[in-house]
Amino acid sequence: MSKESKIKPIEITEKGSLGLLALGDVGLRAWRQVKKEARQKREDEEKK
Amino acid sequence: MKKKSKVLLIGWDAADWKIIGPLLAKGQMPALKKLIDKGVYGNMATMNPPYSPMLWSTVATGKTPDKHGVLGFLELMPDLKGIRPVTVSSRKSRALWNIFHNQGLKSNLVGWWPSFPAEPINGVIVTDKFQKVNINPNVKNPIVEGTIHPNSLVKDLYDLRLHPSEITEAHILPFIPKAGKIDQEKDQGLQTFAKVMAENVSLHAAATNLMRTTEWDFMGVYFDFIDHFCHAFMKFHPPKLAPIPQELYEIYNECIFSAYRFQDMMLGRMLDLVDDDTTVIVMSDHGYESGNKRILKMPKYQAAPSLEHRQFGIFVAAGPNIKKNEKIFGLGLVDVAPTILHMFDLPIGKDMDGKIALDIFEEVKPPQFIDSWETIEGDFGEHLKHDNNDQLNDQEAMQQLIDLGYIDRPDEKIEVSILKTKCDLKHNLARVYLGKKEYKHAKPILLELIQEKEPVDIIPYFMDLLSISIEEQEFDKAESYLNELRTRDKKFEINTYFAEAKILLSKNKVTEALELLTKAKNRKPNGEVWFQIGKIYIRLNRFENAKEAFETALEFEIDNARYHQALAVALNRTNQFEEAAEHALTAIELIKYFPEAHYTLGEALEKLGDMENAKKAYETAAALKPKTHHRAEKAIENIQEKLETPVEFKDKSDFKYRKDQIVIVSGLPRSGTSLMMQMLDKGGLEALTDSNRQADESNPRGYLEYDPVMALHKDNSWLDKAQNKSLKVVAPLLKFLDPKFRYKVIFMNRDLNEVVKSQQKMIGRDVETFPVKLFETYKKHLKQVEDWKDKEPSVELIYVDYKDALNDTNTAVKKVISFIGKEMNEEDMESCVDKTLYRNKN
Repeated sequence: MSKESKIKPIEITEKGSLGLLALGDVGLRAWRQVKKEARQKREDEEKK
Repeated sequence: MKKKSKVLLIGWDAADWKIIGPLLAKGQMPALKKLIDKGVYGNMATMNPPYSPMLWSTVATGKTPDKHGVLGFLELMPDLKGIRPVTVSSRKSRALWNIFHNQGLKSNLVGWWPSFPAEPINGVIVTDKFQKVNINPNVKNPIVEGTIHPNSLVKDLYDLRLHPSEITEAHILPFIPKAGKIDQEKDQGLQTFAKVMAENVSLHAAATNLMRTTEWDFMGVYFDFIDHFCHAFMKFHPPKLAPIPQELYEIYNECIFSAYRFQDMMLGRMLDLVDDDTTVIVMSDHGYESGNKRILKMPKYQAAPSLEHRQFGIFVAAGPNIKKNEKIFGLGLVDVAPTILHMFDLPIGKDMDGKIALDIFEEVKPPQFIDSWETIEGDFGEHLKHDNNDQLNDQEAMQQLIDLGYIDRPDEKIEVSILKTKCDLKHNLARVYLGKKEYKHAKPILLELIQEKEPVDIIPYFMDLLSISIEEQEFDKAESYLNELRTRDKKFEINTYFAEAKILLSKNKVTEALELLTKAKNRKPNGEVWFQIGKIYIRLNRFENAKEAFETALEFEIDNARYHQALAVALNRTNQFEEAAEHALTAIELIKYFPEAHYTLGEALEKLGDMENAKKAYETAAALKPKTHHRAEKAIENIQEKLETPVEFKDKSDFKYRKDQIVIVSGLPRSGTSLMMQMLDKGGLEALTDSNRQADESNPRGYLEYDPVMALHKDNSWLDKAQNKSLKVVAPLLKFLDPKFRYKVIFMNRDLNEVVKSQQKMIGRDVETFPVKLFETYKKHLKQVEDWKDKEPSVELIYVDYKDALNDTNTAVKKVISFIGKEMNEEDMESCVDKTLYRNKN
């Protein structure tokens, strides 16, 4: 297994960024998580 | 304990130094810069035809496509009833990962073209089918069987595919800041952008995941990001091409630079994920035209977009045993697999076409060889021959090849598509043989192909037959092919003026050939037409014109090895040998296996007096030429004679006084150096001496020597003490003189036989036994002095013959005084001569 580098914390927005995509699997998954949570939040708010 | 070798091979299809250079200079590719700073870098020569699946299969196997079998973008289905994008089934040779599997090493492979269906190796393969999804976000995109090996990883990697519909303005705007101005009804630019971006991010996500979560020895990752961006957006890259509308230029002109920058960001992440014991290689299979040879209207034939592929890609490598920040030369795609096998201490198959790039290593291990990896029995992680995957008919991949222009949309009639594909594959094989100059293999294929009927276009086959006839100097045949082309191509749109010019030349119609090419040049100037014009000037012995023509050719294409070589020939003919050597060397740097360039370098070096290196260059030329290189053989004979004959001694001096000059008296031992020191001393030029060595029987008048001279090679800091004085320095130490001072060297010459005998006598040896080795060593020293004198600007040197000093003293003294450039006492100098000392004469 290769070494895991320390990733500096970055702000993830729903729109994402090139930096996140360049991070590979970790960035892609983190971005999708943020998108999912934002969508969920919107849906929850719509229900209210 | 010795650390385990690991190799990460990253393929950047179409990456080109011409774009990378300016970005590195601006600090915009920091990850690649980091690798270059701690590793080696250079050009990677591509092969013909430059079609990526063929080239990356060559990288993986170390073999040319005629051997590995991947011959294009498409292949025929095994039942011969259909066509499909090329798969791993076309590959007949074992790839690196097959060999590693057999040797118990683990490999990860991501996106390699072609790698589908995944081979069952020790490790993981994410094939080139993984990233291809249906553009419609509402259509499900299951990962089909054969996409990933082992299949158990499908669930872990499934979500790592990015769909083009997920691309947002945050991704687009750094590439296309004015994306809002795009009329998406008419312009498909954004769709292309999203598709290429999504596919490559998917591959990168899979690669980084495997790097983080698996153990591996070798990992290969392939990206087509740069290549696909170039095909879509290079026409908008600066400088603006006249036919491109200003509005579109302003929208897309940053795309190519941005693609390289993003590729570098992905590289940065990968470098974060490897240990220091990993050797990282970043390379491309070809470059991409970004200057005035960009093609806006692509000709309508198979794989025409590859016309914009440039002959040199990139190679960068860094790792534990790789040299630091050094440029390397002459690498070819065939060399990659042997070099990587060598990194793992594995033998190279003698049937591989490449060689180990030993130049890149700090410590060079002796290469090991076996006859072939193909004949070794055992488990190589390959598909069984009868395996047939029904998922191979890949519509998405096919569509992409059509979109890129690599293939035409298959005809509705499947039998026509099959026929055309069959012909294209055969033609590609013929072109591989053409590239290897194996005409006897190319010809029968082409002769078979010209028998094809409509709808197969047979003009390209005739073009290749024409080229072969010209190469083989069968000009009658060439003329008949040319006439055939004229008959078939009624509009006469194809370019045949090079062939026509060569046929004219074969009939000795040199003026007509020159006129034809001059017209072509005036109509549409390019490097090749200037090159051909230059060759005609060479034939006409108009070397200055030739030189100008080749220089103009180089303005069009600065990294064309043939143009540099031709210019070197012209420069040799105009006696500009140093420049000739430089251009010949540049040609060799670009293509190492270039016998003519080595020969031309030999010629230049011979004229410059560097016989030993000239001989090496001639020997390399002779060794590289498949047939006997008669000119090189003769040149070697000549140079051997020159090396065996005495060196010609030539004075180098302006005969004027130089401020604070140091007068050096030199020569081989027992060649009259002490006599000259005494003459100078008597004549009024003080000697720098410590008088430690006293007069003796061999030199009754003393030596006038200075002890620190003996350690000149270790310490020359005291030389300022010798300014405006004379100093005795033996010949082999001359090269250690500090170039910051001006030297006037009086070099005493004496017949070498006499020198040797005199020394034998001085040290009490038998004068009748001739010491051959000593004689040869002295001859070499004399040659070195001659070369040293020519190359050192601070050195002036005259030869004074010992015999002349004794027998024609007045003339010798006058020459010395004139050389030193100061008034001296002529009579006193002459009075030093005692002919009785000249006693070891034959």
